[in-house]
Amino acid sequence: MYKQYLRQAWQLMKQNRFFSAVYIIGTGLAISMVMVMAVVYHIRTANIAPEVNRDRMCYVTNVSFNMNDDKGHLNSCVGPRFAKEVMYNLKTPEAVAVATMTQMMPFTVGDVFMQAPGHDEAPKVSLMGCNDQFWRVYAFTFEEGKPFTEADFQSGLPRAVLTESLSRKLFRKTEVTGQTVLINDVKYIVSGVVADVSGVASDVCADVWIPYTSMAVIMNKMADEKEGSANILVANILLRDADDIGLLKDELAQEVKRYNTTLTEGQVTCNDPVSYVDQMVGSLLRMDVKQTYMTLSIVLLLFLLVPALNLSGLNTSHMQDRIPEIGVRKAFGAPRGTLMSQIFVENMLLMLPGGVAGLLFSYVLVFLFRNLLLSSGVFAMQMGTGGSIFLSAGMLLNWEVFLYAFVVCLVLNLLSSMVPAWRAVKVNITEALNA
Amino acid sequence: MITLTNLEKIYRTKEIETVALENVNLTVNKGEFLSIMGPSGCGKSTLLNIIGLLDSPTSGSVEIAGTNTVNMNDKQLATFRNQKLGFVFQSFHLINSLNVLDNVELPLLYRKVSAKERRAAAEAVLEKVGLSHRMRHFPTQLSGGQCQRVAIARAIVGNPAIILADEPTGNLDSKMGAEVMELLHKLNKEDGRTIVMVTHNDEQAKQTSRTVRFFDGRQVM
Amino acid sequence: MIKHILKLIWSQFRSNTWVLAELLVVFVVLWFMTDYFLMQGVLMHRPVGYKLDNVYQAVVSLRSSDNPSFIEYEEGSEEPMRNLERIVERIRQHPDVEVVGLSYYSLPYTHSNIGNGVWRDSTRLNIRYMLVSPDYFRVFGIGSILGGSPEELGAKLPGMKNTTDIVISAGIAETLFGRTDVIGSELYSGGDSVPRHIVAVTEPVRNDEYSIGHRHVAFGLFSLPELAGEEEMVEEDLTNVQITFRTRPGIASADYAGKFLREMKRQLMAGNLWVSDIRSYQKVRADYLANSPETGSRKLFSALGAFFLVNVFLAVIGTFWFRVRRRRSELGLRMAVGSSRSGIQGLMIGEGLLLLTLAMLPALLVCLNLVWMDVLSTTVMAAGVGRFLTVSLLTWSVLAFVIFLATWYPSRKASRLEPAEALHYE
Repeated sequence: MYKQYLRQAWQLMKQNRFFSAVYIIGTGLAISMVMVMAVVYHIRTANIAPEVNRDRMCYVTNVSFNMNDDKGHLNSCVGPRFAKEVMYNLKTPEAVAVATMTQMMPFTVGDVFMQAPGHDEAPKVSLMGCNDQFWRVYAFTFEEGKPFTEADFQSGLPRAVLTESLSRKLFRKTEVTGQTVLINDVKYIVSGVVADVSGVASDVCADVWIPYTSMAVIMNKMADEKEGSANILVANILLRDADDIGLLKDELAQEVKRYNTTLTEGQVTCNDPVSYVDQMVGSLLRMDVKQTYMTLSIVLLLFLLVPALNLSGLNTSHMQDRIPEIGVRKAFGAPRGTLMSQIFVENMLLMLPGGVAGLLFSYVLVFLFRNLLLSSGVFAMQMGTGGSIFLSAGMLLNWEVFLYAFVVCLVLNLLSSMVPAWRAVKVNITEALNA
Repeated sequence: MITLTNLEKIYRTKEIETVALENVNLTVNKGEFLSIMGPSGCGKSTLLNIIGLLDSPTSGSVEIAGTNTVNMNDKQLATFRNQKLGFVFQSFHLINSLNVLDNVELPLLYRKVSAKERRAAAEAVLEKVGLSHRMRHFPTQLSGGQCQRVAIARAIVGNPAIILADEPTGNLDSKMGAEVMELLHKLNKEDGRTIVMVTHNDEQAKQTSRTVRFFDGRQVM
Repeated sequence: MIKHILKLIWSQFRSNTWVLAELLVVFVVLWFMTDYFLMQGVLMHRPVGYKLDNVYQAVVSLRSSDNPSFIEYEEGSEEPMRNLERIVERIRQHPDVEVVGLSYYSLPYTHSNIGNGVWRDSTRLNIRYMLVSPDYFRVFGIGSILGGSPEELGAKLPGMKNTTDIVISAGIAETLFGRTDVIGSELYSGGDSVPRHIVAVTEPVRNDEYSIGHRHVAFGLFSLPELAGEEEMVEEDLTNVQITFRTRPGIASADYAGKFLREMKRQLMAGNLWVSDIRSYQKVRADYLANSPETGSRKLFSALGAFFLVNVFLAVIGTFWFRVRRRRSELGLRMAVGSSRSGIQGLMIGEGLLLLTLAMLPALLVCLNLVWMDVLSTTVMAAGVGRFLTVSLLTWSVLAFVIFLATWYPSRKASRLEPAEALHYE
């Protein structure tokens, strides 16, 4: 039965080429817009290397140090002392990666230049300080060498992990483990080389990673109560289970309380752990999560509504043309439900090429607008890290995205074909035959 | 086979009330070839539509093959039409986007019949109407007479007891018309199917077993 | 004729409902987009005031303290400041350089700035306070609004302390006085108890093409020793001093900045300070604008607008294509009774345009209601009748153009029908 529907739908497409073209373009367009959102959502939320544990990640970013006697307060990010005495004591998480916050780097560290001794090239680079657990939480592909070790981190040894492209720029090769590099004229030893990281992974994206314990700017403040507590680090926490976030919140509150008893100049507060998705959605439009979801739903609705109206109009016209046929089918005993399902199948067939075209077009759009859609926010773009966003096939071609595309086709089909179809099917048979 | 009792059909719009059929009582026996004649607008097509369960009467009863069809719901009507009735229309009403074979298979599509059986049944009836060499053609590639023969094949593929034909030769030249009439007579005589046919053509009416005439919604003979 | 088409539309209301509904929704969406683009256009065409040709910025960096060649100065040493002055002097000595300006958090196309407030009577205005050297005006070619040269303007800059003078931008004068010839008038600055006298009014200046608030600027004299004393500057803070310079005309080339840096790299190091980058200011501007959220949202809105317009195009072309097919006999009859071919085409296009106008009426009501609810941004322009009408007309025109395009093909097809053949379809 469906085979016959498909055969007829194919004939109809061939006989009404103009209509089919308009219809397929219309669907393709609608689907591409929604798919852009879906692809972006996927790239931003799915576990994509090196951020392979996004579903179990949460963040402690904001730390405030309130000085005694209302002498003011410092609102900043996690400081090295706070990290050591609070974050590393937590028992709930599986691991805690602590890294410098990319957005703060230009203000505290300034421009960072790197050079390999004996080479002329001295490019400006994006530097990230991190701890040893960072390499456990995130799955980097090591082309060469290893990450720096816990011992390296604890002793603040000058060790560096480079990206492949940076290594090539500096040394013209990637076999550089054990070599010396100069980071702002300070000697570091390369411990490993990793594959380049796309700006899509905004938590970890950089050209070079070093133990933050080797950075004087940060470690000079270790003893300081104020800037030791609130500085430029962020804690990216890997939970054992995504549901542990409540437990973590309680434990963190307790640890902060205990930490506060060791302070004499003031007291510390920090934000509750925020899950990856909330963090990402919240930073998207710089509104709170609820408002952001609201705005996005309205946009999504418009994206579906306008094409649905468009296709409904086309379907109405098409159905009017086919009313005699529906009359004949009814005369020979087709129940309404059967006719409706036939129209549904036909439409689906018309939609699928549109869906495929739309999906491909959405890839083009995502590629063209990647800096706008995928950078971690306005700020990151200004810092110039937006340029390093590249997309891999794995981000775009996967069954989740295909599933989204199919569901959108289905919804659009239901929205646009069912009302006109029902009207056509309801027409009296004798009228239909004489139409 | 078909019994119409006190049949009445009135079309109402806001301003006008048109009586299409008034007090029609008619019985068609099994195996009969009945022709209905009358001028345009006399209600003969309305009558055929009511017999074909495509339209419902304003009052009166329609009994077909021993079943009273008044008060049947849409689904029951559909099933009844599918199994008991076959239609032939003046303008053929073939589906242009389906080939001949698919067009003929159509009534079986709405029964629980496997694709193989459908195919076999359709091929058999096309053989019968002499079109087995045109099975893969599309309606637009056929002559009017061939189209109507396809339509007849479609009407009989489900093996209905009754065939309803609404001016089946109205769009055909006389030679093709004669072919179609011959085919209908063959179905009536050889297969014993009951046929009700609306026609303008006296010659054709004379060949049928009985003729009823309509004028202004009333049966006059 | 219009009445005749209206009747036609009414009689085919069923098949028109969807198109009408779509036109309505799209009209409302496009109305707001048109408004957005119009406001952006108006905003961008207001002068920014900075002349950027031949202007470069020298970015000063500080060697980090773990660097082996880091020089530890005693606390309170003036040597770091001297180092900065040395760098500035070396740039000034370069034969290509015409003039060097210094400033502190006071460059256009940046995100960092110093805020302040001025009072006139009971009106308070948030302003941007710019600390600049006299030559800054020559670097950026800013004169006074009354035609005074940049040099004259620079000479009038008041010091940071113990002054009752103030130099303001035309923006402040317009906002507070409604005119720009306000030299000698009084203003209160920040927490002052004594009024200040306006000694000069500059040409209108803004931070960038998109900026609205930053056209209110007061200028003060940048003096490194004074500032260092006031702000307890440490060596690190010296990197916030901004060095800009203008080269002589006819020197500029594509990679002049890079050439300059390579040539001067060794000379532009003093103590722990060194020039890490020379940037063409036109490039600074381009980067700033390219990365600004406004540019991003403009691109996004353009894409969305195009999406909606293409949808309308498809809806109309599809519907009218079917319509022409269904009405072949009617169109044939029209030709038979004397309508010309262009008349037929006009009829179909007219039908499309009238449909749009019909959809526009309820759409405008929706827009009007939304405007009433203060959805419209009034930062660039107040929401008045003129703006409403302009935007409505523009929106209609854009959609009308799309509908014209969409009806053109089907209507041409209709006008090419042979009357006899068309009538045959009856």
